[in-house]
Amino acid sequence: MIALGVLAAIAAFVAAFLVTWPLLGGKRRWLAPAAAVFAAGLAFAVYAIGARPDLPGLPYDRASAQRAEADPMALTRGERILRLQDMIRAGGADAQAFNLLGRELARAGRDLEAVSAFEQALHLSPDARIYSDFAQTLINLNEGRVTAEARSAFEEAARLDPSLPEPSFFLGLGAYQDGDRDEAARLWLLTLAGLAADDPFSAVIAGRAADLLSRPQADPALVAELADSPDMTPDQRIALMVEGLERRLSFAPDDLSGWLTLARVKAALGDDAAARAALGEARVRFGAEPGAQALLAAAEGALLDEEADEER
Amino acid sequence: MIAELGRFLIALALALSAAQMLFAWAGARDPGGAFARAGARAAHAALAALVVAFALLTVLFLQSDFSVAYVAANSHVDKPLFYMITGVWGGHEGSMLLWCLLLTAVGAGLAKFGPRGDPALRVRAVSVQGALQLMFLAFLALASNPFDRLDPAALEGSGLNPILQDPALAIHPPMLFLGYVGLSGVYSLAMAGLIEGRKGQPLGAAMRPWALGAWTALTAGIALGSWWAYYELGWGGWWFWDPVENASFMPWLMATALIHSAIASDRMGAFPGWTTLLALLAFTLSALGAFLVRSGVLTSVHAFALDPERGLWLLAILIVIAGAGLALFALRAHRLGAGQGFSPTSREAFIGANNLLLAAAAGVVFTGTLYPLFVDALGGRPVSVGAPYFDATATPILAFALVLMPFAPFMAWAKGGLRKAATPLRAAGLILPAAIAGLTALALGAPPLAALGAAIGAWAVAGAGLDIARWSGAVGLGPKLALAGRAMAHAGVGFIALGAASDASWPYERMAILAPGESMTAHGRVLTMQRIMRADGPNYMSDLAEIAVTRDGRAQGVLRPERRYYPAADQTTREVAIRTGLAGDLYVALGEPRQRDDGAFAFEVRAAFNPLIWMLGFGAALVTLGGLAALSARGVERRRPG
Amino acid sequence: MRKRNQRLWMIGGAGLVLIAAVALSLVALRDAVVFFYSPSEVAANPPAAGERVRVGGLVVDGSVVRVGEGGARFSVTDGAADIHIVYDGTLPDLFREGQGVVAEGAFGDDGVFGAYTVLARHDENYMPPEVAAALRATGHWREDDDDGQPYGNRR
Repeated sequence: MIALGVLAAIAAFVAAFLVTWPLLGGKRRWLAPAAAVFAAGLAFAVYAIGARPDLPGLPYDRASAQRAEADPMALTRGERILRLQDMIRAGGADAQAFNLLGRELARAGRDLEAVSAFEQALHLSPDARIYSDFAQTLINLNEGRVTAEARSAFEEAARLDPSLPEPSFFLGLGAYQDGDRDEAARLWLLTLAGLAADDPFSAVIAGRAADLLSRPQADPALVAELADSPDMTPDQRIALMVEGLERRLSFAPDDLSGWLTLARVKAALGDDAAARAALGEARVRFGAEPGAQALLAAAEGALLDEEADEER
Repeated sequence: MIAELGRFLIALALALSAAQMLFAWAGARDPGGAFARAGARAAHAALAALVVAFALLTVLFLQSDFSVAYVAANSHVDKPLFYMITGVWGGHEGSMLLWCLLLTAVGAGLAKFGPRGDPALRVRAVSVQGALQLMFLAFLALASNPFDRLDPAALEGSGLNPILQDPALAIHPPMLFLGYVGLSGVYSLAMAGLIEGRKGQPLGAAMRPWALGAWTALTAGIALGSWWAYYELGWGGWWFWDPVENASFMPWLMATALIHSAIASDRMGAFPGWTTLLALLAFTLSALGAFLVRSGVLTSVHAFALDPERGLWLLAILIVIAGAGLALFALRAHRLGAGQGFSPTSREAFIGANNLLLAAAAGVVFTGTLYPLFVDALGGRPVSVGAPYFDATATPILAFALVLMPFAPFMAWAKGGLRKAATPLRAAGLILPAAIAGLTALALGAPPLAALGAAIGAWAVAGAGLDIARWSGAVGLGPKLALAGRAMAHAGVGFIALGAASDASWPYERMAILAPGESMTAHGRVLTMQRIMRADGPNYMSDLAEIAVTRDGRAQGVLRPERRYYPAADQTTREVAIRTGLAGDLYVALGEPRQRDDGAFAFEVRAAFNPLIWMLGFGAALVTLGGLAALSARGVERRRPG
Repeated sequence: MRKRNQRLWMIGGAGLVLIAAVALSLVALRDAVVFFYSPSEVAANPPAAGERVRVGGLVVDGSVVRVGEGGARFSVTDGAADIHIVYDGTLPDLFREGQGVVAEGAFGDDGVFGAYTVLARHDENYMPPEVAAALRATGHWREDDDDGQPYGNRR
């Protein structure tokens, strides 16, 4: 600030005296210093409007060095992203840095850039977790759709690390989006089987899977059936749906999604006993499969909660 | 500290401009005296202060100092070095700094190279220029300071607007500004002439080189901007009659009229009042252009930030410039004297007709550009005036001026006489090419009006050819250069007309959605999408398509249009691929990707064929070179002994 | 004599050109002026089918359908009413949902607006003036409509 003041004063007075120099030779030589002082004063006055001499300059290198020294946890997400980008720019970046950057970008909602960072990370070192994060970002980017690109990335992740739960879950989601509920159920059971019972993700995944698999409006067969008879009352439609489901399950009882749907419809109709019966049937048929217990427990919990909500 | 020093230097330049205005005003009575010298020194010191300020701003860009608001809004650390530097004048504040820098450069230039033989006029002009500098520097310092700070500093910059990251656009604004601001020198000289009570002839002589230099820069600037619009905006057009374009076209029309009428004033003392008025109006329209572009009062396809406060500042400056100029003209025009008489077939008459038509064209462009503003001010339903209006008004007026153009160089001053100039050989040399061009265009299916345009273009080019044929008649380097300059500029305008006519005659555009392996036909060529790949740059991500072009089975190369996404600015741009040939440009732009039902990705591909479009660029280059030749002719003349 | 003759020539020529230019301007302005309509004005008092007009508003979120064979369909709104627009050309690079755009074209007999051109601005902060005014009129526009992060990435 002192240096600034000195420099500015030198510039102002050198310029002012240089300009007024010719006047010193004339008759009105008093005018020279007066005009010089006036011009310098005007310059300082105009400068003062909006001036911030107290604010030091902040070249990017210095800002970057300050970030590099700081504790990453004390920084905001935007600053952490920049910190990682600075490291990458400096050339000392490994796959880990790109991976962290990709995650931060994905959390910040900058999916397109995150995808690019993950691609770089995978280029440096193919890793199951990074493939999985990459594919999840692709899903976010496509508003929840499991695209072909995401699917192949998940398949690669599953190949590299079969114990990773995400790939089978999202591949199941992809199958579900394609209308293949059996394949979705199989993959989700596989996911749940791979998780310890007390894993917090287990309950979340089980709940999500139970919810999706039991949705009557997402069952392609049911939807097709109802489309044939458009002019019915809602009660008639539900009745027809239940009837159709029961008929189908009596022919082909190896349908986890079907039993879950039936239980959900029955619970919604207030027929708790029938709902429990349907779940019981599912337990009998699928209980032996690893992961099914968690799924059925989640379904039961959700249906009971729903009833509790309705009673309240 | 660097930023604050820059801010101080702007303030210092403002104070020095005030000193320049006052000292030079006091010094005009005694042009060799102390006050006059002090005024000239102030002009030089103001220029020095702004040169350093500009250098400091460049340093801030190179440092990516995001504690400076303007740097944060217009730069990014990942930006290539070249665009880091061009970002200095890429935004509003920086471009105003450049404007002020050029304004002080003209001030210092007037002090050093102003009319030698008339020191009083020179010193007075330096004073008027000081007043102009003072107004624009006040605007810069108080309402658009590029050194304004951010506290806390921004984390990262937004990056320069990606469509501005382009080599042509990096030099387009400085060129255009050089033209606009060069006209400020003409304005100052005209004001000084009115104040000092000069006659029209010496004033015309004093303004001539400044007008010519400003006009040359303005021509180059407009041409670069148009070229940029052609390939960067991705629509294939080159002139849209957009308000921002009109804002530069109006001063150009005025400057074009001025360089002709100033010749007549200088040589024959003709049009004394009119030349002075044109000089005042040319810079007024430049300032109007700055106001229209920067205040955002008009809808435009070119974009700049809009800010009502800045608009008010610029409006106030505009009113002072126009008001002071016109008021002084009304009071003092009679002192310019009456013009010399001339016959209706003299060269002066043709220059008068040229001026009348150019002024009329500027008038109709002005009306169309500002009409939406008037309607808005009167509370009417919002309207816009588009290209059809300008095509129906300005184009025929300018075409008529082109019809007259080839005659003027053959006419004698003052006395004239059509018979002597229009020999049968010359008439044939004009009519034949025009007829051939027009009939050829018609035969190739051009609409009649476009064919007429082609005929007029050929007519103008032929006229310039007849003019240059008198090469041996011009004795000495100066006259030869002057002749070459005139012929090149006139031929260039003709080529522009030819290019415009052919562009209007055979518009060709096809669009298709192509996935790799698919192809489309366009203008007799088969375009095959070979593949789409990622081609990321330092600060953008890009989809690049490789499109192979074949004609009758023969490969004609690969076009690589791109679609870029700039994350810092969150913007997408398209980089078109152009294959230039003698017959015209094959112009391919890559549009949005879309997913087919089977999940495959395909891209929208737009292919256009712009026939003979090179004539536009060639013509503009010729006009600019013509201006440079005429300028150097004056330099040679001046250095000649005696 | 000679001088008066010349002045006559000059004044006559200038007057002629002036009259021609004014007449040309007036005729062309009458034909070439394009009026701007906001969606609610269209709803209240639609322009005749086939008349060349400009319409504008914010692109409705989720309304953009990019047709497989090129072109797009979308709606613009001013909060009070919507206009459905079909466009055969290439949408500008800055076209985005939720952004202000201006389209020039004409309404068809079915009330769908067929656009010849669609303009979105190059400036990120840009709101076409007509659109901004129309939005203010319907109270859909807040002056402080900013995410409070003027520099750096906006998402």
